[in-house]
Amino acid sequence: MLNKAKILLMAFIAMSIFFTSCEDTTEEVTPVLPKPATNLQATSASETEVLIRWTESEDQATEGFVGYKLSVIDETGNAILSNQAVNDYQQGGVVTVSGLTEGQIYDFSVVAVNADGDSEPITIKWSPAIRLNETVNEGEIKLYGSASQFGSGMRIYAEDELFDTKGPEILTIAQKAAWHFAFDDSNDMFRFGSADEVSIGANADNPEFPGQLSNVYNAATLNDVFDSQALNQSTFSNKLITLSEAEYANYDGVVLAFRVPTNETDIYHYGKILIKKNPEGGYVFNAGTSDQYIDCVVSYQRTANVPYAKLGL
Amino acid sequence: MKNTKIILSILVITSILFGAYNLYAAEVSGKTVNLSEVVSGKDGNVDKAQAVELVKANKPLAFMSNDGKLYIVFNTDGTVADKNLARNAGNDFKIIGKVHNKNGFQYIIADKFE
Repeated sequence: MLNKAKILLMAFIAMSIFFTSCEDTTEEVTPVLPKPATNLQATSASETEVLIRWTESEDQATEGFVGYKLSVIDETGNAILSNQAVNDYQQGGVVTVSGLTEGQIYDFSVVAVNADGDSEPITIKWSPAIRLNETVNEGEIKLYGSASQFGSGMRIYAEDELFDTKGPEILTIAQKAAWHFAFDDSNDMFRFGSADEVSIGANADNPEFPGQLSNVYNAATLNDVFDSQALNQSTFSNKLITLSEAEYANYDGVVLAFRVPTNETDIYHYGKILIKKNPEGGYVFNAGTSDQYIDCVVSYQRTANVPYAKLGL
Repeated sequence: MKNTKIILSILVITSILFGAYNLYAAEVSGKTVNLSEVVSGKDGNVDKAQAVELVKANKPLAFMSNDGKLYIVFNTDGTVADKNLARNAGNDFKIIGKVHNKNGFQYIIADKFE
């Protein structure tokens, strides 16, 4: 009888302890999701690769922060990447997305992740574009001064099917009708820009489809030029950039966004061109000789009216 | 009298420009040859397929004019124009461009192959 009473008493005490402790742990915890990353930007590295970068979430340094997840979706809704973990992203970092198709526009989205879940996504649209480091004849992309026997003008893209090469074509004044852009070193000024704006080759045929320029960027390579909006959001015009102006003296290199018209109204090919600096810090190589030239690299979207990106969300 | 002067001036300017253009835009007719064979005393004749193979093997081609002069041909971007010579090999064709003769070395900066 005494034993029975003892057992009942112990059960009562145990239940009391259980219910008391339950009361302590039933407090509701609200999940704290991380703040989203910001300033998602992209650039085309090749016809199959896009580089993206973003500004870190404000919560990246907080306890429980895990990293980021990247998704890439094509225009038909197929996922090229789905919630790919990017846990070691640091400010200034770049993520390379490969296996893309030139001319296709993709949605790139990034979410920040912590122990409680995912942030709101940030999204950008972009498309890969071919990178051209050589002319169609496999030479460096050099535009020569007007005193040179070589070409001062450029048709931005040509293909050689027989030898499977592609790149800009450098053309002399005799071929001015086909120029998109040109280097003009007349009057001791070094200018680059729309073929119809240069003063060289005055007696030659007028360029049929002169290229147009918009934004100017300070960058040593095309991979350093990121954007968050489509090039067609910019204003393009036929103009020249004077490389010898003081404004560009401190640049690491000049990158120009361009578009070239086609024979159809309002149909353009978009791209960017880098004008490199020489080891002495100027833009003109062999300066002062009859073969002075500027040295270029081109990123070019071969699919018409794909301006790399459309306005991000 | 005034009209005569104007017409005369136009004629003179046109002649100068035309002369300058002709000097600039030289035309040379001939054929593509295998440079290695020519320098070893052979005729150097190649057809298109042979010329393409030579280019792929990094063997030099040259241009032999109809009057027997041998030219090295450059593109307007400064590269050697072997690919364009190969493309036109096996037939007589014309190169339009600037002809130079420096240090006994004859070359053409080719604007056009036709």
